[in-house]
This record gives sequence, C-alpha cells and structure tokens, in this order.
Amino acid sequence: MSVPFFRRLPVRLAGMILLLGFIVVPLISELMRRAAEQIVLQQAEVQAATATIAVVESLGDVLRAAETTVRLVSQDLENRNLTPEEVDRVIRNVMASNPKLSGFGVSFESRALAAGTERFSHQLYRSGSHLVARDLAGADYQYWTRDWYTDAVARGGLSWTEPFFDAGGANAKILLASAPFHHQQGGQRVVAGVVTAALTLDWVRQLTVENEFFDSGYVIIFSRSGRLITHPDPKLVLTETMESLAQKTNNPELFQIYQRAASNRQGSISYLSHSLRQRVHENYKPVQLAGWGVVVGYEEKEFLRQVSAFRWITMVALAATLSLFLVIVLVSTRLALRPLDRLAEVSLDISRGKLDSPIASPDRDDEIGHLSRSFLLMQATLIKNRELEAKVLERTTALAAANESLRGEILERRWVNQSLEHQLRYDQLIINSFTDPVIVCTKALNISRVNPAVMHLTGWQPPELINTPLARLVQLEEAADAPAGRGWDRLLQALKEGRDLRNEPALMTNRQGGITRVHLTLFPIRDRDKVVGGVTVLRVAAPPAPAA
Amino acid sequence: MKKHILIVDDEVAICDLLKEFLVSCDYRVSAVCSADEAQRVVRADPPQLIISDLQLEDSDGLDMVKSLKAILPDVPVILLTGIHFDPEVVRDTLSKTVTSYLQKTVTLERILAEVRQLIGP
Repeated sequence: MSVPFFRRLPVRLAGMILLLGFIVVPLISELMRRAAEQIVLQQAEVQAATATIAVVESLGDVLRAAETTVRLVSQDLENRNLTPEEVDRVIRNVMASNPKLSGFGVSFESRALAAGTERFSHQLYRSGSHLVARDLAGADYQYWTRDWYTDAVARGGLSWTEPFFDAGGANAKILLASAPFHHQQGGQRVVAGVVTAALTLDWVRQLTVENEFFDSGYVIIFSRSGRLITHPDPKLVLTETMESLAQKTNNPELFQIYQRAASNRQGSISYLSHSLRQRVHENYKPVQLAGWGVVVGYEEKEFLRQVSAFRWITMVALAATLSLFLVIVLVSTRLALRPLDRLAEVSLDISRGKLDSPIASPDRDDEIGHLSRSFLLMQATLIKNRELEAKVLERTTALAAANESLRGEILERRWVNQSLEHQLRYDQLIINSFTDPVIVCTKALNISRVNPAVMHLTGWQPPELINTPLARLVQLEEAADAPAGRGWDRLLQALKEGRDLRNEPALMTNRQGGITRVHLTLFPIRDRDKVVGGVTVLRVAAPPAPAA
Repeated sequence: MKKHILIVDDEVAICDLLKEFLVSCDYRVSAVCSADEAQRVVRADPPQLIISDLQLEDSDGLDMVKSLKAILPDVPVILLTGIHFDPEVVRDTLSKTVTSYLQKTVTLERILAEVRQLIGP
C-alpha cells in the first residue's frame, strides 16, 4: 500500500513551494521593480536637477562675466575721449582678460569719438588663437541700425540680444550684451556709444556638452523670447521657439516649461515626447541674466532599463532561492520520511500478522527516532502478547478437552446412576410383585426391605419394620425342648455358611400379635462370594386337614 | 448430513440422557416414549438406527420392533434394556428380531461403539 505520487508529502510541499513561488516571485519582483524605479527616477531627477543647476550657474557665470566686463568698460568710457588706438587697446585688454568672450567692441555715436569721425565701431573677434578686427561702420553692416546698438541706446542700460547670426560682424551665431556709455555734451549727459560683448552659441553648446549626463541626456537652452539657443537637434537652433516646437511635436509641455521659466519658476516635468517616442523627464530653471531658460532632460527608459535588469536579476535570485529552498525541503522531507516509509511497511506487516518484520534500530534523537523506538517497543509487546495468546489458547484448548472429558464422564456417571437406579427400581418391582411375603435382611438378620405382601399379611408398615430384627416378624418354629434362640442361631449360621434354608416351619407375628404359621425359605445374598445378607420368603402354611 | 437415530424408552430420563450423549457425538436424535410415537417418527423421518427398550408403557419392545421393521425392514435395532438375558436367549430369540442387545448397565462409550459399528460415525 504505497502513497500515490501526487499525495506524497515532499511532492505536496514542492507543489506548495512552486505555487508560492509563482505568486510570490512575480509579486516581490514587481514591488521591488516599482520601488527601484522610484528610487532610480528620484536619483535621476536629482542628478538632472543638479545638472540643471550646474548649467544655469555656468551660463550665469559667463553671462555675468560678460555683463560685468561690458559694464566696467562702459563705465570706464564714461566721459573719456579715446583715440581709436586707445579703443583698440581697451578692447584687446578685455579680450585677453576674458577668454570666454568671443568678441568685444566699442561703437560710437556719430562724431562721439572725434569731431571728424562720423561713425566708429571697432570690434575684435576670436578666430582660433587670433583676434580679428572688424569695422562695423561700413555700409555693409551700419552698426547704428542694428538692434543690439539701438536697443542699448534706447534702454540706456545693459541689455542682451536674442541670439542671431551676425552676418558681416562676427559671422557666427552669437548673442550680444550691450551697454551704452555717455559723454557730457552741452551740460547734458548724452549717449556716446555702446560697448558690446559677444558670446558665440558654440560656447553655449560646448557648455551643454560638458554638462550632459546619462546616455539619453540632453540640454535645451532657450532665450527670453523662447528661441532655441541649444537643442539636441541643431537644425532647430534659432529656427524654432519653445512654443513652435511644442506645437510641431504636439507636446504642450514644452511651452509650459517656457512659460514657467519666463515666470522665473523652476521645476520638473515628465511627459511622453512624441518626437522621441519615449517618456522623458525634464528639469527646468531660469537663468536670471539674459532671461534664458535651461532644460535638462533624459529618457526615463534609460534608467528603467537598469530597473528592468534589476528586476530580472531579482526574479532570478528569488527563483534560485526558491529552488534552493525546494531542494532543501525535498531532501529534508525525504530524510525525515524515509524512516516513516519503512515504519509504514512494518505496520502493514504487523497488521498481516508478521510481527517479526525488522525495524532498523534508531540512531537519531529526534521525533522520528522516538517514533522508531516506540515501534520497536510496540513490536516486542505484540510478540510477547502473541506468545501469551498462544499459551492461553493452548491452556484453553486443554481446558476445553478436559471439560469435554469431564462432560463425558459426567454423562457416564449420570448414565450409571440412571442405570443403577433403574436396576434397583426394577428389582424392587420384582420383589414387590411376589404374592408371598419377601423380607430382605442383612447378614445380622435385620430387616432392610419388605415387599407389599408383608404389609398385607402383617399390617406392619415398612418404616416400622426396616432396621428391626427379623425375629420381630418371624421365628423358626423349634421343638418345645429346644434351647431358646436356637432358631435364630440356625438362621445366622445358615447365612454365615452361605446355606439355603428351605421350607423351615416358622411363625409370623402380625401387628396385632396374631400368629400365622408359615414356611420360611432363606436364600443368602452373595456379592462376589461374600454373603452380605439374605432373602427370606414366607409361604403361608396350609391349615392342617381336619381329622377324618 | 448427520445420521438419524430413534430412541424408544418409556423412561424420559433415559431418553434425555442418551439423546444428549448421542447428539454430542454428532448424531441427529429423535426420542420417543411409546410405540405409537415411534411409528409416527419412523414414517415421517425414517431413522438409520433404532435403540429401544424392551418394556414400554404401551407395548412390548420386541413387538414394536417387529412393527417398525415392517416399515423399515433394513434398519438396525439395538435392544437396550435393564433385563439380563442369557446368551442362549440372546442368540436364539432376540437375534431374530433385533440386531444387537445391550444391557443398560453398559457404559455410554460401549453404546457408542455399537452405534458406530452399525451405522458409522
């Protein structure tokens, strides 16, 4: 009788563990994935925020430096009359001191430099390791018509231009910080010119490259008007704004970013980028100077890839742990149950009467060992009980045989008793059937039995005669001169000798004392040649015939 | 199937005792006390052996045996009686009517031996 395979305890435990595994492993891995995802995205956001701050500060540093330089120079030029050579020297000093500036220049109002000089604008631009001078007063440029000049003059203070391609000037995509300087003229302070510092967008792009992080990270910088200064797609630089890009890509989040940055707010936003076809996370922060905004973004899947990998690693680890646990459970249950299998076989043998089925002596001190010892004890007890039962059966069989023998003996005794009783009764019937008085007496001639004829003739009842001398009832008739008791002696002698006495004249006395002449015949009763008594038969004598 | 024995004796005690003994020896026993009852049993359920007393209340045992043998000529008969007969009487007279003669003073084992000899166990 073996346990079906799928009901065996190790199989059921294994099944439960596997079922648990199929439920728990994915659940735990999912929970851990979500937690890891949260952590990773938070870390990425922190890094992005840090990078955003770094970009903003780097930008701010450079812009601030440019602003400071422009302000200082413009202040320096206040109410100073410089020669073109001195102007050139100032500009060169500035360029030497500010390696980040891609250009610097001073442009004068009409006849502000010298009375004979209508217009003067001296700009120096970096070209590799050289400085290239450019006169922007030419007819092809006419600096006094440019926004960077006119806005600075109109504003009366420092201003930043929107990025633009300075054709004829820097011949590059630049932005300019411009600040006017003044002279006293006719007691009035009038604008004498504008100092400009130029920063190429290449530098800005370089700055974003240095601060890019992650494989999918990108930096977007936009101007006060939202025009893209840097973008991962160079084609969009200066051609698109945040608003136009938001419309084109159907991502209104971009415009939201611009609006918030323009409102001097910072923050982060996650959305599905239709252009990238990925979910992206973007941190944004305004640049206080120049009214720019900086966006640092990354594709969330880049971090989620790590999470996904982590999830698979977790699942594999959990599965491996469960497998190990499964193996341990199978091995340990097998170790525990193998003795139980043997004990089950032993139990089956015992139930079938085979009490001597071997049980291995337990060498372990745990519950299984205790059970095995109990089984050994039970087996020994059963064997002893069986031996006792065999002895009891043997005794019972002997007793049953003895009982049967006793029963047979009792039956025989009952039969013998019955037979004896029958014989006695029959003998009595025979004696009783005699018409002649029959008296049975002992060897001492005491009456032991009389038949009904005696009662009839004498009137005596048996209880009055039994155990009384025969002489009370009958005596031999002796001669007159015979000694007294002679007749009695003759009877005794005859019994003693075992002789019959036949037809002896005798006198029978009845109850009333009446005498009846009888003939007495005495027969000795022999029991194996030993006289034990006698039977006396009396016959009433015929009365003597009357004399003729 | 157990062999059937008919006991005829006017003494109930003897009938009961003998029946108890023969039943314990694995025989089927019918016990009656008169010749009329014996006739009824013989006709209704013929026995393989008849054990009869000589002196019955309503009949002489030998006459009864003769009438029963008229019904079952081949049935053996044991005469079980308290009367002692001389061997010549047994040989010359009784043997013409009965198969066997036993005195009631014999042991039950002797009776059983006679029964087994006549009809088997």
